[in-house]
Amino acid sequence: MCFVRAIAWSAIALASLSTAPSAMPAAPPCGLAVDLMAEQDWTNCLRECRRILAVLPGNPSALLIKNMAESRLGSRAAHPSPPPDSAAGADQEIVRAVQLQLAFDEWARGRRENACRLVENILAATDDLDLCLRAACTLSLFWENSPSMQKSGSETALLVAALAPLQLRYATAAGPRPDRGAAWLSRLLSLPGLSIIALYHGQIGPALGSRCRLKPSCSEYARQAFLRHGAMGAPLAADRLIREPDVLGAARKTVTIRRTKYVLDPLCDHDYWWRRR
Amino acid sequence: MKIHSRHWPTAAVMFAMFMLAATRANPDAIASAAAAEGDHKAAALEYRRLALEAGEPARQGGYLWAAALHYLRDGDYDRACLLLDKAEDADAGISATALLLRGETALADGKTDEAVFYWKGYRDSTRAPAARRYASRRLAEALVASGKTDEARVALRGDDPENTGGLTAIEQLKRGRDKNPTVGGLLGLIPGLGYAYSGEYGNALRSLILNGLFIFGMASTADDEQWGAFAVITFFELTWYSGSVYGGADAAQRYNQERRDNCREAIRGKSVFEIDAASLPVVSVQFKF
Repeated sequence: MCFVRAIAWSAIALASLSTAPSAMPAAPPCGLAVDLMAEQDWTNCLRECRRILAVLPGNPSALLIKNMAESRLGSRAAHPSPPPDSAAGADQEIVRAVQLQLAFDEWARGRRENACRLVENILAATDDLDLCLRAACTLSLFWENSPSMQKSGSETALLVAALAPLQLRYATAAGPRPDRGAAWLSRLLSLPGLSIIALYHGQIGPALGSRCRLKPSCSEYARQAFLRHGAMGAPLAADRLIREPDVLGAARKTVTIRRTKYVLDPLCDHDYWWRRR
Repeated sequence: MKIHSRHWPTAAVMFAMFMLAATRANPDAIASAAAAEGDHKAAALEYRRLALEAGEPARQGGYLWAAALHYLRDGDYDRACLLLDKAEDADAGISATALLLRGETALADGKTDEAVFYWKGYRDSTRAPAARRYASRRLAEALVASGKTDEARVALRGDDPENTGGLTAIEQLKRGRDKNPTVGGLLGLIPGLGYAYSGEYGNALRSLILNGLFIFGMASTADDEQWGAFAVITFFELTWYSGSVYGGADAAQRYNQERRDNCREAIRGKSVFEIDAASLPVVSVQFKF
């Protein structure tokens, strides 16, 4: 009788276990890490890899992504990019996802043909729809920037064209956009301003200490303005310095960081109207 | 109830199984705690993890929706949109509530035309009076932000006719006049006048004094033929002067933006939406006014 009762209770307990949502990862363990890598959220990607490696020590896929994240965060300066071929035993789709990140590096270093070839190979080999769309979007952006790279009529070109309507969601998440022709004169003219800010940040600021109650501080705002708009950063920086007392007085948007109240006045609030055009 | 000594092993096993079931019954405890602490990014990541672990598409969709909500609260609008795409991929049934978040995201990101599209879609997809009322307020806000005050009034009158504060604010916005940024920029050629055009007299005075001092410095160094000092002062004066012109145009934009923001605030009132975190991954939204 007791045995029967115990069986019954165990059955109920098991039933409650099976109806409860599973806490064990049913999905591939690196799923979130891969997504975070694709989004280039390196800090969280690294954290996620460490979490996986704590549970599954030596997991080759997690190690591969961890190496990539560390190299992007600068903690592996000696090995800026992990060689994906060394990732023996890693999931091939994850190796391809890492290769897509390496293609961005190649593009940034000016090795455009290599970058295109890498992405074309990924596109040809992958079975993952997400990665396929991401690669197609990246390739179309590369081709848009360097039309000579496009082999019109090729199988890859046809595939990219066919996937074009589905690429929209990755347009912002496909990695760094190709440089649309730097306005070198504007950047050259911004150098004196950037030098003054660098001098202030390096020598004067540390001596004075952090006293600015604006976020970003005026020097940081000016630096962002010069970096984003070249020489057009100068009027933005001057405008900010003129407005500073008013912004502090009005204190419309505030944020508290470590018990100190700061007034928010980001650059995007003052350049959105002409950037939009 | 007295348990006989020979039943202890069975009781212990059953207790352990029940405890295990109890701890596994609330898998989103970490995400809820992170959300309660205001760490929306961590909450979003936890919900994403739960979505990957959830087997059923409906559960995946719900968790991805929650992740998108926390990315929205964290100000990461691109990721919020991406997660909503994934939520809809996983569960097409979540589309109506996804529209709500898409509307919020577009409005927060300043994409007013997109926001109008989403809020119209959400309003038309729901029959619940509170949801329609909320959607009409947000739609009116989006229309005001994109300069369509007449349409905003119509939207508000349709589903939220008792929002007299909002309707009055729209009337006031329509009666008032915007400042012309081009005129502001042109007036800025005379230092300070551009700011004064938009009513920023403190900034106008500061711009006038700074430009005056540096022009005086230029003239003085030129008189003394100190060309090195002249070059340095000219560099800074050009910066101040360009700032005066830019500031004139930007001040006009700020003036217009503030008028629209005040109107939007009046339309919105105290309306908010809240989710029942305990019911996740089933998305349950409540509206408060």
